[in-house]
Amino acid sequence: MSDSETKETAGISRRTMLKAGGATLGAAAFARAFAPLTEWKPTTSVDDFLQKHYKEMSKTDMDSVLRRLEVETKENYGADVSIEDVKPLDGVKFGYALNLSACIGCRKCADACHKENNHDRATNNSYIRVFEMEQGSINFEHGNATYDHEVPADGKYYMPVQCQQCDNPPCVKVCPVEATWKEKDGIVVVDYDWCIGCRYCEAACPYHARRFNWKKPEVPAEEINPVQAYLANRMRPQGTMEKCHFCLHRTRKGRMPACLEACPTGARVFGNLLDPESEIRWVLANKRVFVLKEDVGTVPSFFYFFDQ
Amino acid sequence: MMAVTLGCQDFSSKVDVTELSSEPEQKTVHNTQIVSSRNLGTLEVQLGDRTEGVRCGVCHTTTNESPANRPDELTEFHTEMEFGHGDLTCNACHNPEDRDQLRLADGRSLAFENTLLLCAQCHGPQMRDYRRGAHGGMKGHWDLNKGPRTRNHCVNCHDPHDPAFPKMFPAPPPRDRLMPKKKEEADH
Repeated sequence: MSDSETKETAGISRRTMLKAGGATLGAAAFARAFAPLTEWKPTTSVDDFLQKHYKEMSKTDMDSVLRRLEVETKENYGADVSIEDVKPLDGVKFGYALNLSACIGCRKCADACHKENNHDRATNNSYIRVFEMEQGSINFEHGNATYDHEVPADGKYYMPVQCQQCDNPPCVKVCPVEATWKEKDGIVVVDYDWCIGCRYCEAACPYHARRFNWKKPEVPAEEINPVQAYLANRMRPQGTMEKCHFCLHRTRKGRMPACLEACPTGARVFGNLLDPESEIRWVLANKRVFVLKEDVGTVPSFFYFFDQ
Repeated sequence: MMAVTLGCQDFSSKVDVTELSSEPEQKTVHNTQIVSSRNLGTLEVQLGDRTEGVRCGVCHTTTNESPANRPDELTEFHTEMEFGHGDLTCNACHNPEDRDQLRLADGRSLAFENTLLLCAQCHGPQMRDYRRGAHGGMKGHWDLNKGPRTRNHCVNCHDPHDPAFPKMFPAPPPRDRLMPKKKEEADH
């Protein structure tokens, strides 16, 4: 019967087509899955591969790493940068306080961070997320970080959240390779060359403060901030974690963080917690102060306060 | 003593804040300077194709008529200005005897560059916070042993005639693909 024959032929051809299609897709998926291996060779030098852990590097080791990274930045981004290894200061533990009565949610802090720390332009990445919050609420998990209207909006307040530089940092505990640790000035840092990109720290952080480089960060050469530090704003490789480091390339030299200088309302107060005369100590002693998610026991070095 | 040292250059005032501080014996190497972004004591006037800052006294000495003392009395001059500073009269801050000066509540004349003291007469808590570094933007060094710092003058952020901080459009939001979906504006 011609009818059933036609059906038969059509059935076979469909099956064959599906098989062929499946095989093609399978091959494509296989090739895609192995792509990192084929891409690995040209971007990883022997020096890169043999580099020691940050804490095990001598001054000479570090110097050669820094020079190599400068050359790589020139090759990959076309920018002349100088990368330093800036060490913590003696007798300094950094603290940061943010005045919720003053913040208007203009995101200038996040924007300043974006530029200062050479963040990927396409994602508009920043270590600071500003949450728009309902007045009367306190849980920033319900805040909106992607608002795009005139601020401050009626009935709202704004809560910028960045790394809280915890004294009991869960992100550090979960790192399987010790690529992240807390320095003596309180800053939790990441060695981007040691990080394996497992993202455990991102999951562990109750403040969503960590960022992952899904792609190689793209920044035009003329926009790259050339003043860089190894544990701070140097260009991060693809597949590594990064986070706010209190602008350690600035603050360990006595300067204010970029987000503070950008704040048009003076909502940010930064300083040395060990200096009883510092501005931050005055705020902690005289204002109504709280920390985010105090109940999870992270002991942040970042504080929020009110004027009234 | 309330006096502040100041050096006036091109209308930008620089006040040594250590004089304002309650603890004068700071072991600071570098200074904190208060820098004004406004042309204090002048009015921007369009003269042909250029804008000039004209001192208040230039007009206010050419007439014998007593000028308006409340914003709603202004009919001819300053009508384009916004007023939103409570029920203050002009002469609550401006010196009617000398329009190039301000006047404190106790009658003393005050240079425009020293507006901080004038504002502090009513805004004590803000002045207290300002002195302790908890009010007003700043730039420079947290560690004054390492470098100087500049601080905003009251009038950098607050228009003295309409002092509420203006609303503005924010910098663009993140485009992180893991960001939560944008909540509807009409959520509530």
